[in-house]
Amino acid sequence: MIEQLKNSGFEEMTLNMGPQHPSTHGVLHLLLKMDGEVITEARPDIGYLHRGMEKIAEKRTWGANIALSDRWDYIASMSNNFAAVLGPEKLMSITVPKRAEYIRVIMAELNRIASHLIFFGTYGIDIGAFTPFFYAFREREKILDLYESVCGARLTYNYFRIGGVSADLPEEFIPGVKAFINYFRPKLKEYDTLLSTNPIFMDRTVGVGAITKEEAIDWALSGPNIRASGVNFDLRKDDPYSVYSEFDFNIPTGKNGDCWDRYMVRMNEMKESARIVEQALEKLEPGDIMAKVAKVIRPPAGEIYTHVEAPKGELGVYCISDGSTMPYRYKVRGPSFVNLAILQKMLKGLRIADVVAVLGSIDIVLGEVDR
Amino acid sequence: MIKIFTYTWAILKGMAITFKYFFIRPVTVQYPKEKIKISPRWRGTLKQLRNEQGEETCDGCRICEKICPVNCISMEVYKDEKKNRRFTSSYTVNFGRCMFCGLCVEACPKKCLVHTPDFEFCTYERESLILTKDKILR
Ligand code: SF4
Ligand code: SF4
Repeated sequence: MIEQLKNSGFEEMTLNMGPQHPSTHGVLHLLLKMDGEVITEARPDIGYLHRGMEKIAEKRTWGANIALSDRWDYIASMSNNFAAVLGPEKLMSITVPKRAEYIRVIMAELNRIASHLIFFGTYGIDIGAFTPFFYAFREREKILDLYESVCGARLTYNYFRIGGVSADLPEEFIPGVKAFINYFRPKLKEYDTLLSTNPIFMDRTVGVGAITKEEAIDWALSGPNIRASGVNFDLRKDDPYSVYSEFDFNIPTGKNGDCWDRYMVRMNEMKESARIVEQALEKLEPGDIMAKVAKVIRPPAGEIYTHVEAPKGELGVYCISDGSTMPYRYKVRGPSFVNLAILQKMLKGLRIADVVAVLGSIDIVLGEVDR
Repeated sequence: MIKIFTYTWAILKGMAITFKYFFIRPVTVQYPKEKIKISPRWRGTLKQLRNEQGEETCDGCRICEKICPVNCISMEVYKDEKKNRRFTSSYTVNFGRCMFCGLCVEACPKKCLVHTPDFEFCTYERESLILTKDKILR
């Protein structure tokens, strides 16, 4: 049939999706080769948001690099801050005060909720449901307000410092977080009614873009994407950093690795994050928020790789110090970048209508893909 | 047939939730007319403080200039022999480059550089984003 069509003048079509397409979550450019409605080849073309973060980092002090790290994954800056401070802290063997550690965990987990809320909202739009977006952003706004009261910024927090955090929690923060969690829990049930168990939504996501366990490992996926395929891999449990080993939480996993599983893993992760925040609030005790560190930070020469479980997956920073005030090399392993690679395999053989569903379910952020 | 029923039921269930919020006070604000409260820690534009006598406190130590990751602060310093201390003769911040990271404020040893809770900072020309000393020293 296809041969016949080809002979009579029909041919494969190359379709450019993006970089200004509203559902490519930024400036992703997808080159799709189409045979009718079926995709025969997909090639992500990235780099529209490239700012040379790794090179800039070599000419900035260690402290300034935390401020720059906000710009990798700009909807989960606290996790970026986390990854940026762990390396120099280990090199300089700084012990961070307990209070600062708990504050960091609270911030990182709230950020995970905020990031997954954006996923929930935008994924709804991708599929064609508009309402969840407003609800997700309403809840996220409350988290951002909390952040604003602590560090004075709503998106680029620059809150972590090498040796602690920049400011102590204001008085209204802890009641604020408690109120938020009480407010947020019932909302998750609403989300399930709105989207998760909606048969129209399920028709479009269940069984679409499935990744098997082996594929997920082969393509080095991380975060909710690999967990949806049934691999129980979470750095908070597998290589506990900070004080994560003290908390009791589950790692939600999926079975089939399709879009719905990836979606569901994130929804369940929000519940677990809320649990961690609650536990951390209980353990929070008055104390120092900064360790004693010199004003000018000069980690001893050496190299180190530290990683954290960011909302998108394993965010790692490999830095080499030559003993000066600036890093000699600063390599960032952005989870979105690695997760995006599997798209070329997943899209092959799918219909064009599923592209947005699959792309949305990987949950990339282009600031981190391009850096 | 069953499919149509389940789809309609799901839509109705979703509608019920949206309908619930129909009668609740909206969370949005009518921005230019209403404004939300900004936290006192808000990292807005910069300003320099004077001391009680109305003198400028900044002694031109250049720490803020050095720590800024995007090099947007520049100043000229002179020494006042009578008062035996340094002053800045010019102090310019290019807010077109500033990323409001707050590192300069944190580092200032005299605590004279602070953020303002000002968030409406748009202009028509790039030049007006460069604030000179008379605008920063308030
Ligand atoms: S806030 Fe940051 S970018 Fe802006 S002047 Fe201060 S140090 Fe520079
Ligand atoms: S750090 Fe403070 S005292 Fe020093 S030059 Fe800057 S504003 Fe002036």
